[in-house]
Amino acid sequence: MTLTAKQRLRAWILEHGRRIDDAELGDDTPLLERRILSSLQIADLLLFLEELRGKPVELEGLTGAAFRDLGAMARAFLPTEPVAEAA
Amino acid sequence: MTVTTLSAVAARLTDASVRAAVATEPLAWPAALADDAWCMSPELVSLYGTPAWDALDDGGRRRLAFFECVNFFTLNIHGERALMEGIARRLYARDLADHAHYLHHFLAEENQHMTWFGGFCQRYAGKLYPDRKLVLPREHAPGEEDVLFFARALIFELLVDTFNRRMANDDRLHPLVREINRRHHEDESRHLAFGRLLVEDLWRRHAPRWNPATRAAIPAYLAAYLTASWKEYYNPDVYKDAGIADPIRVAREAFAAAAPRARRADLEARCVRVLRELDLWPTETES
Ligand SMILES: [Fe+2]
Ligand SMILES: [Fe+2]
Repeated sequence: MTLTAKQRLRAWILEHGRRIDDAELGDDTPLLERRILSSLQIADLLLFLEELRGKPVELEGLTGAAFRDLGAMARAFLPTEPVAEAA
Repeated sequence: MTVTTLSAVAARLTDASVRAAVATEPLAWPAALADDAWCMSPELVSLYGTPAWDALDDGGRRRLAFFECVNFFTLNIHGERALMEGIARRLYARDLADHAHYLHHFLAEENQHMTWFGGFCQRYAGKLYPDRKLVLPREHAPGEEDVLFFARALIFELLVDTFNRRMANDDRLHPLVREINRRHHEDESRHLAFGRLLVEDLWRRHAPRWNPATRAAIPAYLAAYLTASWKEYYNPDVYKDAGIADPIRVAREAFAAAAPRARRADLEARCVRVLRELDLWPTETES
């Protein structure tokens, strides 16, 4: 089955971020505070998000708040998924 | 490096800045650039030596080179803007108060550079490319933020200057592009002389008081910063403007390809050598 945009984003974080296992990464895991993601990865991450969205991200006025955790990123950048993600 | 020497160098550079400012004529801006003008040396175009480059005809390559030049000038603007913000904030800070006079010249010069780069991008491309960098706030040891700020500036300026020097000497390029590169290189020689001594001074002075983990993390961070800086030279927005399909994938593949890797190693050699001389580059065991 195909992954949703949010699942692909989660997989990207697991692959590129530091010090986190699959089971530990939730919607509200603080990615910047725990330094799982660093400033230097934001540009790569933005390009990946642009690919997922299929359109550019509005960069002006963007702050770290949009990258705080997986949930925040999905709300800021990804289209709402039609299927509810139960369990 | 003692503070006295740094001060003496800053005083000498201030005199040189004053002389350069008096001697500089305003740039001559043509109303338009000829379609077939090279604006970036082909060998410095990010895609050079990749299948995406081979697939372009001569006109397509020149068009790509134009947008690469706009990206290169844009990167200068984003870098200089961050530099000006950081310097302005530190102007009369204790560590830098002795050099405030030179820093005023430094700021004036960076501001002028932005008028050249911005003038080119706005006139001929009608835009700048957006900045995808974001510096997220975090805790620092005393002096660490200054060391990182000036070391990042040094990396940025060393990399840019390598491009400037090559393009200033490339007679295939449009004369305006050559002249902007030449003038920038001239001013940046002073910034680099000062920046290198300043980084050395701050690093030697502050690092001994940090815990070993903080100290050890700096070279690794700077190496990662250099890689992140390089990625900005592979801008999908450029490829899109040049009419290349699937630009994000092209950027990723070009960055990983053999020819661009070898080219980066050559272009960054001076930067790596300087960082190594300052003990700011990871040793073999760390990398
Ligand atoms: Fe500059
Ligand atoms: Fe500079």
